[in-house]
Amino acid sequence: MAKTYTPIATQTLTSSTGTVTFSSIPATYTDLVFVLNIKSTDAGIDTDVTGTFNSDTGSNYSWTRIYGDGTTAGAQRTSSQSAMRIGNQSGTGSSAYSPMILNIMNYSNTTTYKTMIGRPNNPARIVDAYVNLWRSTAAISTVTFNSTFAAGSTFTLYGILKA
Amino acid sequence: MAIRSLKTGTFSRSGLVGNPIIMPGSYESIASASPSGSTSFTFSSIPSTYSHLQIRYTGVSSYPLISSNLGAGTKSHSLYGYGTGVAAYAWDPLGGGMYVAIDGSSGNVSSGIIDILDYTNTSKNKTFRALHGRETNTADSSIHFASGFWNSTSAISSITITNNVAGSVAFGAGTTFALYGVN
Repeated sequence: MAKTYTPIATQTLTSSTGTVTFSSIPATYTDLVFVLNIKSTDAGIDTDVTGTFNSDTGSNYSWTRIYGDGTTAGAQRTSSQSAMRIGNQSGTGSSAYSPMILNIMNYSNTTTYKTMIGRPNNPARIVDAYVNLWRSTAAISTVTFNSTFAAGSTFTLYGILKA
Repeated sequence: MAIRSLKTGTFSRSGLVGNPIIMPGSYESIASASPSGSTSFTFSSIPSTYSHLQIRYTGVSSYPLISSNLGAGTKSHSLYGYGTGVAAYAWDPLGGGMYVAIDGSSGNVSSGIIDILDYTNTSKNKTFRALHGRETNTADSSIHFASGFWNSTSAISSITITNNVAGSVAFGAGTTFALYGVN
């Protein structure tokens, strides 16, 4: 049996930035997995993280989430957005980094729209799960994350290849 | 020094003396299926050499059901959000399987990950946990947590995924399921 779950690239921020991009992603895997451990430079504990595929900023994204924030369990969804909703990260109001695992399924196929299911976590505020849809059959070669990322935030990309 | 495959372009570490020790990976691909046009499929003869199994899937599905050589299972539960609210369900096995999620509509792309821990341990009853999502850009979208239970300590050697309760709706074009073993 072939070993898989291969590290592709890692970015560890040495200074704050608003955009982190993984480009030229090889099309040789089945699924992609991003493991993030991130923090915002914003004050407070509640900063959204968004993302795009292949630099597409058209109204081609939608998402549904379930969440619990300590007092409320709920769900939310949006349609026809210009970016994915990755999750929510803590800022300078907390010492906690926010760990997130994002699964982009069958990312290089050219038959179906692309889905990403994720478990972002903001230990300072909320636990949730998302499903994102990118209404494109194009293979994904670039993933961009947008927020206010602090130095020390890490982004690691893995590839999983099916038998 | 890393070695780059001329075929795939991927990097791997070199085992040459002087390089850091390479530990063998613990996540292996076992089998895959592209069941488009079929109402069910089976991963059979699953090796007993791993600790855990993971199934990763995406495609067009209806009500994915999981069963195994242990039978349909005993119980499954789901917690899900559907955009404007959250709900929870518990099911006794239907149609020979346990629900991974309620999707309702064929023709919509769903994705999910199913974990089956300690699948060969003969001291433990078998369970699965799953994260499943269907997003359609309409209100017919949902994100699910699911768990299921087989009241049997036998090892799991085969897993069957059926597309709906009656087994009458085929998986759609582009559907893929992949089975992995974890040590």
